[in-house]
Amino acid sequence: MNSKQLRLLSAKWVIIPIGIAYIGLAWLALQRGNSLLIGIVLVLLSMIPFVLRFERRERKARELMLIAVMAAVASISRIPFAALLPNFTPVTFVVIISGVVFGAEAGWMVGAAGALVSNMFLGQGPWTPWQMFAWGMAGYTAGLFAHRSTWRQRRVPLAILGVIWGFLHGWIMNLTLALDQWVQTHSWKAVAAKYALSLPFELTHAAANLFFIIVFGPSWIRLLERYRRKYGTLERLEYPDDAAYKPVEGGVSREASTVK
Amino acid sequence: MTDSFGFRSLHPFTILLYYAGGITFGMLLFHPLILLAGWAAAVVVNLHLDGGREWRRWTVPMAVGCLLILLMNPILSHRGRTVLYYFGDMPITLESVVYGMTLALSMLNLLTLFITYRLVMSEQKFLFLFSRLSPKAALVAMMALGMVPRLRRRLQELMLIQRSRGITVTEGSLAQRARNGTRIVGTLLSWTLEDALQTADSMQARGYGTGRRSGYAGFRFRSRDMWTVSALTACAVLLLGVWASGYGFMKVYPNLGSFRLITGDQVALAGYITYLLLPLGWEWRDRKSWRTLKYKM
Amino acid sequence: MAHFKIQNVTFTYPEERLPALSDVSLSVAPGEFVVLCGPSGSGKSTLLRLLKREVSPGGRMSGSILLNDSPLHEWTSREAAAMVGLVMQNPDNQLVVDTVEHELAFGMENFGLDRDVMRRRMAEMAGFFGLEPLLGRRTDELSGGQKQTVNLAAVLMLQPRVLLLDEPLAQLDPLAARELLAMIKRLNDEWGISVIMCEHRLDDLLPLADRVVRLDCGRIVFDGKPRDFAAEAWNRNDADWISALPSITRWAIEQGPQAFVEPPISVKEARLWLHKRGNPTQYAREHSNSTVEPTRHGEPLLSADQIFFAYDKHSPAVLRGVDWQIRRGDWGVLFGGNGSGKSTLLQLLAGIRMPQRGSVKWGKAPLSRKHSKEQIGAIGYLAQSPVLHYAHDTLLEDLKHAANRAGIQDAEQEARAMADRFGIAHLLTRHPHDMSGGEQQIGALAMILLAKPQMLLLDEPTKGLDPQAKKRLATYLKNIHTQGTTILMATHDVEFAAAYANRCSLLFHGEIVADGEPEPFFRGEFVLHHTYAPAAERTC
Repeated sequence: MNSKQLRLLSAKWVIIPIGIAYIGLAWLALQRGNSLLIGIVLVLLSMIPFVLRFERRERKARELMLIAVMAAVASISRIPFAALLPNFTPVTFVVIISGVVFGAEAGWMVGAAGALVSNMFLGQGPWTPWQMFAWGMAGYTAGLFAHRSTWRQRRVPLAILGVIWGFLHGWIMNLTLALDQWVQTHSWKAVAAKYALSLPFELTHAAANLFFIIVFGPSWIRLLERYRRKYGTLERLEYPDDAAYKPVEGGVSREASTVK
Repeated sequence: MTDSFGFRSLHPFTILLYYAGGITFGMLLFHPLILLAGWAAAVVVNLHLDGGREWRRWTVPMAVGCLLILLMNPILSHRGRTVLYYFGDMPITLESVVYGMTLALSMLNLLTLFITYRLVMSEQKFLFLFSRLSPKAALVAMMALGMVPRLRRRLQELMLIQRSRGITVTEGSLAQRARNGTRIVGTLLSWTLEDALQTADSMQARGYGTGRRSGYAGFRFRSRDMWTVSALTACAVLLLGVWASGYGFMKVYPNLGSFRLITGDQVALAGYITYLLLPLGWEWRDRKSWRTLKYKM
Repeated sequence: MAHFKIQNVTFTYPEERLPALSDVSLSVAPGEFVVLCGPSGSGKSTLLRLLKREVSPGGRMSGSILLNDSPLHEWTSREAAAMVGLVMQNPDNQLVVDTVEHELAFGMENFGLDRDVMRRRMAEMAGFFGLEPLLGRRTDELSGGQKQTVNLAAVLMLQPRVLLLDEPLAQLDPLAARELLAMIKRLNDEWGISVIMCEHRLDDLLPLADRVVRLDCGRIVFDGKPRDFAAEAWNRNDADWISALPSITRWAIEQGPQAFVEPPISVKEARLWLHKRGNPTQYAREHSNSTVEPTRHGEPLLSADQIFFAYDKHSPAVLRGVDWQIRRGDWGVLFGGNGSGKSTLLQLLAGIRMPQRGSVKWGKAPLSRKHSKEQIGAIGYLAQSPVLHYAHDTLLEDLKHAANRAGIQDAEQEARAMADRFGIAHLLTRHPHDMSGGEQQIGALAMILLAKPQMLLLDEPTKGLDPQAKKRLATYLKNIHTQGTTILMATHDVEFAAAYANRCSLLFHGEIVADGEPEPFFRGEFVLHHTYAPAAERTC
């Protein structure tokens, strides 16, 4: 079997049966009181629709570039804050603002790619898929929430979203252990106690999001809007007789007319 | 460097299979002794790959994480029949302690395995696999990966110069420092977005978007991969069979079962250890050829 | 073999009244090496980009561009992209992915080539450019020259027949620029690739090119052989034309009104020419036109006392015991090869980095980590990339920030006054990242000067500037120097140094190995003489 044949086994047709088998396995394990597998399997599977959707359309160079830059900036944005409080970083802020300006799909991609790439430098671990999920969803929900509504792009609504994600992010990261707690004891009190233990971290995270959105939200949105226009107006030479040279109008992410 | 030697010389797909299985069984087999043996096997793999250097670097965070789980579980979970001690009016049960211990071992096993993952699955191999699943998303990851070191250097320069202008994260009140930090990141962002327009031009100038792309990165699926995949699959099937017939995990709740490994558990233990140590066969083989080479010279 | 035929092309940018190019006709034969020159805004870059369909600017165009006799827009997108390759100015920004090997493969992947084909081309190209040892490296670890070589090789992977080069040498140091140029010449000679290259400075280009085309205000004002170009420039006696000539040619021209058979365009020709004139020893002594004579025995203003510096514990020291003084009234220039630690030394002197051993003294007091009030304003430092100095949304805000920090009462007014003085008042509301490199530099200089520094440190201030911008910078610096500010700059630009500095120093292997007035300095230094021959020749 060489790599060419490997490619023939198109990814989709390999992933789907494996996914189903894994769900079965995880379910069986859950029946026996072992909840470790189910979470990670579901998180990994949840990424597939996003990734496939991203593949389906032709992507322009500038569109990929924009996402790559946002992901790279998100993953290094914690460096200047290393000297401040732990967990007080603008990563979630960068992801949320990306989602708001470039749309839900791009927001998910920025979050997930940011998590993946930053872990390539800090060290991959079982937390990688969880982080990809949490940041990806932060970007996605931000896009759904405020991409098309200027009213919701204002400070207060975004700040509320930021605070919610400050807590949700930590909860998602601890989901494996919380789920395990519930399977062990079937008591919500134990789960709540488990979450209460990590509350200080979530509080700092939420405070960081609140701070960044209140102080820098509007100016960052303006900045990114500027670049969305700059990247979106892909003006190329206009020949009077040639339709293929018409400049493509509109934004990068606003369901840009698909050429080809 | 060492990519053509031993474990690392295997095809990314083989490596992926190994880790997928190693992690899955690390979660499914919930028996302290089996997990302990699995952890020992992962440590042995670590020692083979880089003399355990990377593993030692992570010992403290790993130990702290496991200790937290170990301590927390009896405090949070009061299930179990055998009460060891009353902490106020909070019962600490033997079952809960043992469960926490097993959970901690399971985590330890996983983390140790992941340290070898970082050594074996290089970014290039991972991106090769990823681009099979999603070429565009993999390209984005590759572009971001190329950008991070450059941005990091720019950020450091920016922090240096801006400090001389009084925009710094090391002086002033917390709010002022956070404000300055964000200002610096914002400047970096805008600067990078401006430059990235040229990068996008450079992509298009080299024909990006003119049609279907192909992939350059190639790894050959050799006979040693074939052998490894077959052996790993055999082990996995055996383990799954044993697990499905109810072996390889310990009954903790409502009252603690025996630590003793009965035949089925022994098979599970042997299978898991074999699975984890399998790729080291190539490590030994390649090492031997070096040794004979040295004698000849 | 491919040729371009540009017929009566007129091009106007959207929302502009005047065309950027008007009625340009030009034909480039297969295998020709054409240099496009002209001042900034003359339309040379626009013309070059019109030839590369994928990056052509938006706007209205009339006339036609034919590639191999068929209009450029009738080519299929793949063929057009492969046929014409483009290398741009900034080496960093053209790199798309993480490693050298991926970067080289990127173009071929876009064309959907088979892996076997890709491997073969990779082997060929890596061999030709000597990139084999670098294939596994991250592109980020390479030097500027290596990056630009990778960019060139990445374009050549598509086997283009025409190579468009948009100021590819501007960001490189002289040595790397020459190496890259030699590579380009080889491609032109051996592979028959046509080369169309935009460049401000023609120093090493003129002897290599087959043809020079000069644009001015969107029109072709000269099209002919390099030698004729030199003669034409001389006859016109126009400062703009002459500033584009190689320095050696300019020097020969400045020798006086004696008639040339033909003006020399390389150092070798100049030597022969001097020899023919019969008095090769009597060189014109061009004195530096710096405004203040160096004070030999003055109190040192800023001094380095045995400084050692390394970036981290495990890497070798960059500076190994530098002992050096800068006196009031100096206009010093610091030379040194790539990576010799010039920038590091400047940053240490400016007090933005701290040495591990030794100390930097301002007057008699050592610079400390906590600047005293007078130290903040005393030393101004301008980084190599001026963009590093900006952190606000408009130039005005950044200037105001600088004025506030300098303790000026009416910050806004002072900021505006400063902008007026530097001719950047029209940029005040602009986002700093929307300004050109030259504008960013002047803006950053204005910010620094708001604090009225007694000493100004500049890191490669002339890098990437066109001759006009360079002249403008020189005028400002001369003014500042006349008003009593001491200047120190690190540079590769020997010509600029020779024209303005009154003191030159050479940093080598972490130490200052030569220090003196420009004239004896250049005469004594064989290495510099050799490396920077054309420019140094002027002062000898």
